[in-house]
Amino acid sequence: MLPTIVVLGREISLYGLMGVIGIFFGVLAAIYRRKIYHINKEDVIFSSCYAGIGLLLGAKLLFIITIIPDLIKNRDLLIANPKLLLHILFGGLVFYGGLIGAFLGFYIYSRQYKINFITLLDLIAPSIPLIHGFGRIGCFTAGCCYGIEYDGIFHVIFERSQAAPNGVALLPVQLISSGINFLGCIALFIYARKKRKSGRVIGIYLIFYSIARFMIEFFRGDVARGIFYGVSTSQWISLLLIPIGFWFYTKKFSTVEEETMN
Amino acid sequence: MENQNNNKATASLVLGIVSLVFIFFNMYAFVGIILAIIGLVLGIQVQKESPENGMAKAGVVLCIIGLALCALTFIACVICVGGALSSLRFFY
Repeated sequence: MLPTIVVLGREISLYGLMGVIGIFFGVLAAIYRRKIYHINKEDVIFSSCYAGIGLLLGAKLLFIITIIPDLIKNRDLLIANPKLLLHILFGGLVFYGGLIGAFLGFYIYSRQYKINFITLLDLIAPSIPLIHGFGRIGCFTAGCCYGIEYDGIFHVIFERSQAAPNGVALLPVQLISSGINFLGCIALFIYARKKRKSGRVIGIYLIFYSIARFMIEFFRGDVARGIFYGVSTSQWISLLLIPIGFWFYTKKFSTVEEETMN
Repeated sequence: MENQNNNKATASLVLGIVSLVFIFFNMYAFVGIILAIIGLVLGIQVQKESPENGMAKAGVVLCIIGLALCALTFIACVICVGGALSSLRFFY
C-alpha cells in the first residue's frame, strides 16, 4: 500500500513507524495501569526497555531460524553475494520470537531488580495486543504477511509491494489480524481493570492469541515461511503456548493476592 | 561506588549520543542499536541505584530515542518473514 513515507528528505518505513507508535502507546497504557499492581513508573519504563531489547533480538533470531533451510539451499549464491545475505538477514522479524524475547527481557529485569515477574507480565498483557495491532497495520502498509488469493468483498490489490504479489486480489489478513488484536486489547483492558489473581491476565492473553493466530495462519498467503509437517512455525508455537497459557491461568503463584471482589 | 556510577552515567550519555549519529548510516544503524542497548542497560543500573543522577537520566532518554530511531532506520521497507523470503525466492 504505502511502504515508506518521506520525512525531512529521509525515507521512513511505515512498518517500523507503526511498531514504534504501538510500543509508545503500549508503554503509556502500562503506565496508566501500573497503580493496580503497585509498580512505580520508572520500573514500567525500564522493564519495557529491557523487553524492547528482547523483542528486537528475539524477533530477529526466530526469523533467522525459520529461514535457515532456504539459506542452506541458496548458500552458493549467498556466499558469492554477501550483500544479498545481509539484506535477507536484516529484512525480517517474527512476532512470536519478539514475544518470547520480550518475556525474557521482563524476566531478566525482574530478577535483576527484585520485582515480581508474573505481576509485570499481568501489567503488560493488555499492551501486547495493542502493540501487535499497530504492527499488523504496518504489515499491511508494507504488503508483507499477506493473505490468500481472494476476490470477494474487501479484497486488496497491491501495486508496488516488495513482499506481496502485485496485481493479485488478496484477503487483507493483516487488517483482520490487527482488528482481532485490538478487540483482544479492549477485552483484556476490561477484564484487567481491577486486580485479578496473579497470572490470569497473561494466561488469558496467551490462550486467546494462540487460538486466534492458529486460525489466522490458514488464511496467510505467504507460504514461504517455515512449514513443518503441514503446519507453520507460528502454529507450532501457538500449540505450545495454549497449555502454557492455561498453566499461567490456573497456577497459584506464591505471591498470589486474593482477587478483588467489589 | 558513587564514582563508578558517575562513570557508568557518562558512558550511557556518550553511547546515547553516538547511537543517534548512526541514524544517518542506513543499514549500519544496527551498530547504533547495539550502542543504545549497552547505554540503556548502564543508565538504568545507575538510575536504580541513585535516581537523582541527572546524567544517567539524560543517558537513558537519549538511548531510548537512539534505539527507536536506529530501529526505524534499520528496519527496511520489507520487514516480515514473507517479504524477505520472497526476495530470496527470486533466486531459486
